[in-house]
Amino acid sequence: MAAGSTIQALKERLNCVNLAHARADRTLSTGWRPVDAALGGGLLAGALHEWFGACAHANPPGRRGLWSPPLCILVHLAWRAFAAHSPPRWAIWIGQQCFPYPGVLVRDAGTDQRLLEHSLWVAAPTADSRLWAIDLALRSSAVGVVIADGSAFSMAASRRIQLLAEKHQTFACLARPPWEQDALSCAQTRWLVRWAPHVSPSAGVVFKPRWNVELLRCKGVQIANHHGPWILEWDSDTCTLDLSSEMAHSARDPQEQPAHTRPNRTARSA
Amino acid sequence: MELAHARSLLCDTQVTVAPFAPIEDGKGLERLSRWARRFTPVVAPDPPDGLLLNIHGCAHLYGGEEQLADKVAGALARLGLRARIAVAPTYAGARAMARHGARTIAFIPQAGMRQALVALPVAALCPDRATRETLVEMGIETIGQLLDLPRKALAARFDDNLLRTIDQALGDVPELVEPVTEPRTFETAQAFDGPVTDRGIIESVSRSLLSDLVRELNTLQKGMRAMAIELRRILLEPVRVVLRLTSPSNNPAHLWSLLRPKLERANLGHGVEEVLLRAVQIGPVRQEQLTLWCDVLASGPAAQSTDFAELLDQLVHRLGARAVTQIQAVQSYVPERAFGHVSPSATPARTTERVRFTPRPSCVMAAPERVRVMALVPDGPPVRIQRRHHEHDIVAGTSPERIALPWWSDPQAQTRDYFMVQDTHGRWLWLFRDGASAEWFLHGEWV
Repeated sequence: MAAGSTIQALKERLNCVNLAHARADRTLSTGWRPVDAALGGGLLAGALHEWFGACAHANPPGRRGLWSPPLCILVHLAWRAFAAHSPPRWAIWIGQQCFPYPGVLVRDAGTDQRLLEHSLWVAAPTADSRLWAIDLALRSSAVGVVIADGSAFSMAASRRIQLLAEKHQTFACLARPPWEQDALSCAQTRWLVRWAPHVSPSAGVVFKPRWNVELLRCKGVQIANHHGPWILEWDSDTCTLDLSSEMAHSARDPQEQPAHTRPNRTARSA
Repeated sequence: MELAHARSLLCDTQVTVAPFAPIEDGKGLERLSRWARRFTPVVAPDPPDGLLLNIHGCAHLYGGEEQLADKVAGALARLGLRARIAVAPTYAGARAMARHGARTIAFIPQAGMRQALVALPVAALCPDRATRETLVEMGIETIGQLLDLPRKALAARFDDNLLRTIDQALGDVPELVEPVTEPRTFETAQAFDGPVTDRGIIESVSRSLLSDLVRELNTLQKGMRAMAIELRRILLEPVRVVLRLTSPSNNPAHLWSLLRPKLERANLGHGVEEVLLRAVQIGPVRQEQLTLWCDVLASGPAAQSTDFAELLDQLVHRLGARAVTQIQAVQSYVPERAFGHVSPSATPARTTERVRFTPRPSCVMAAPERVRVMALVPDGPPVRIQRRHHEHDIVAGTSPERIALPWWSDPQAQTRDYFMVQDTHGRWLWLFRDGASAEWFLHGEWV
C-alpha cells in the first residue's frame, strides 16, 4: 500500500513537470500573422479568451438591447483549435446565443465536416448552468475547445474558467455583450469586434463581411504599439476568416516590427 | 416456388406474407422456451419450431401426463399457437412422434417406443436429406424397415448419426439437450432492522451497494447501461429511480455522481426499510491498459471516449436530453430545416450526410422575422429596412437566390427570393421576399 502511494505521488510530480513544459510551448496560431506577432506567437492554447460582440442597434444610455456574438471569428478559432489535436477532440458549444448556423462549420465545399461531427451543442438556459457546463467540459480530456456565451459572468467565474483552461490545456472562448467590457475579468486576452464597412470597388459589390478586431488586453505581454484594429474578412466559399487584403498588403514583416517584451509565461500579472 | 406461384395456388385462402427471418425466429423460439419453464424447469428449443420439455417429476403436479399435455396445449392456444404434442420416454422419440405422428397429442408408454416408431417415415429420425433419399432409393420408407436392417450394414453404409439417432430414440443411448436458463440478474440489497430516516445512512448504504455491484460486473468485464435504485419505505410505495447512461460504465465514482443528486431529492417518507440496487441494462466495457507514466496531454482514445461518455451523462442528467445534442444534416433546401438536432452518441465520429454547401450566414433564425422594406422598384432589391423601430440604409447587395419550399409536402408552400444586403454600418443581412405575400423577412446575418 505504501509503495503504491509513493508511486502515485511520483506520477503526480512528473505530471506537473510535463504540464509546466507544455504550457510554455502551446500557442494557437490565429492564422493572421500580424495578430500572432502582436500576441507573441498566437493565442495561448490553454487559456480563456473573451470576445465582445456588437450591439444590434444603437442603444440609448442605460438601456441594453440585442447583441451579436462574433460567430464567424469563433468558428474560425474553433477550427484552428480543433485541427491542432490529433486524434481530434470535441468542440463544445454552450449557450444558444453562440450557436452558429451549422453550415458554416463545414469546409472544402461541404467535404470537410469534421468539426461539425465533433461538435456538441449544450443549450444551458441560465448563467449558472452555463458556468457549470463550461466547468464540466473543461475538465474532460475528450474536449479540445469550448465556445460559450459568457454574458453576466462575474470575475470569479472568469477566474474559475481561466484556471481550468490552464490546468487542462483546453482552448476556451467566451462571447460577451459589448456593455460588459468594463467588467472585471481574468481572461488571458480580451477582444472587441465591430462591423467594418466595406469600401466596394467601383466595378461591383464584393460580398465579404468584414469586422474590426481590436485587442483590448493580453496578459503577460507588453504590447508596444500595435494592438489593432485589424480588419478580418469572411470568405463564404471556404468558411474561413482572413486578414483583409488591404491589411495583408500593408502589413510589415513581423520580424521588423518593434520588439515587445514577453516576460516568462509562468510569472503573469493579474 | 415463387411467392406469386404460391399465392395463385392459395387464391381462395387469405395469405399472410412475412419475410423469412431465421435469427428473429430463433430468438422468438428461445423466448417461448423461457415461457414454457412454468411447466418444467428443463426446457430446450428444438429448432426450427419445436420445444423439448423434460417432465420427469413434474407430471404428478398437474394430475398426470394427459392433464399436463392438455394444459400446455391450452396455454399455447391462448398465445395463438397450434401445437402437436407427444409425450414419450425419449427426446428423439417424442420429436419424431410430434412431427410425424398421426395424432395431435400422442402418449407413448415406457416400453412402447419401438412399437410407436415402426410406422413413422424414416424422415422422423433422419434429418439429413441425403440419407433420407438414399434410404428411399433402397426401398426403406418406414422406421420399422430401417430397424429390421442389420446394424453393421447401416454402420457400413451410413455415418454414425443415423445409428446414434436410432439408439437415442429407443432409449439405448442418452440424448443431451441444452436447456434455456433465465438471464442472470445483477442486484444487491441491504435491509435495515427498522425504518431509517437519516439521509446520510441511506446514501452511505447506496454507495456501498453500488461499489459491490460494479465489482461484480467488473469480473465479467461489463458495465451498467441503466440502473435502478429502489427505496422501500414503510407504509408507503417504494421510491424508484432509474438512471440511463449513454454508454456502459463501470466507474463507481461517475455512477455515484449521477445517483447522488437523485437520492438527495428522494422523499424518505416515514423511513426506509430496504435499499435495492439493480443493473437494469448492462453492456461490455472497453478495457484499457493502465500506463505507469500517464501523460495528461495525450490521453488515449479509449480514455477520451470514456471521458466523453461521462461528460454526456452529466450534462444530460442535469440539463435534460433535449438540451444536449449533436447536429445532423438533413436533405432539405429550406435553410432552417437543413440541419437537425439529434441525441448525441458516445462514439466520437458519427456519419452524417454530406452537407449541401451554399454560402449561408453564421446566424440563421429559426423563425424568420418580418421587416418593412423600401425598394426603388416593386420587385427590386431593398434600399432601406425597418426592423424593430430601427432603420437600416442599404448600401450594397447581391442578386437574389431563389429557394422553392417543398410543394409536395405543403400545398401552400411558395418561393423565397433571398438577398444578401449590407447596411451603412457594414452589417451583412440575409433577407428574403415571400413569393406569395410579397412580404419581406429577415432570416439571418453574418456576425
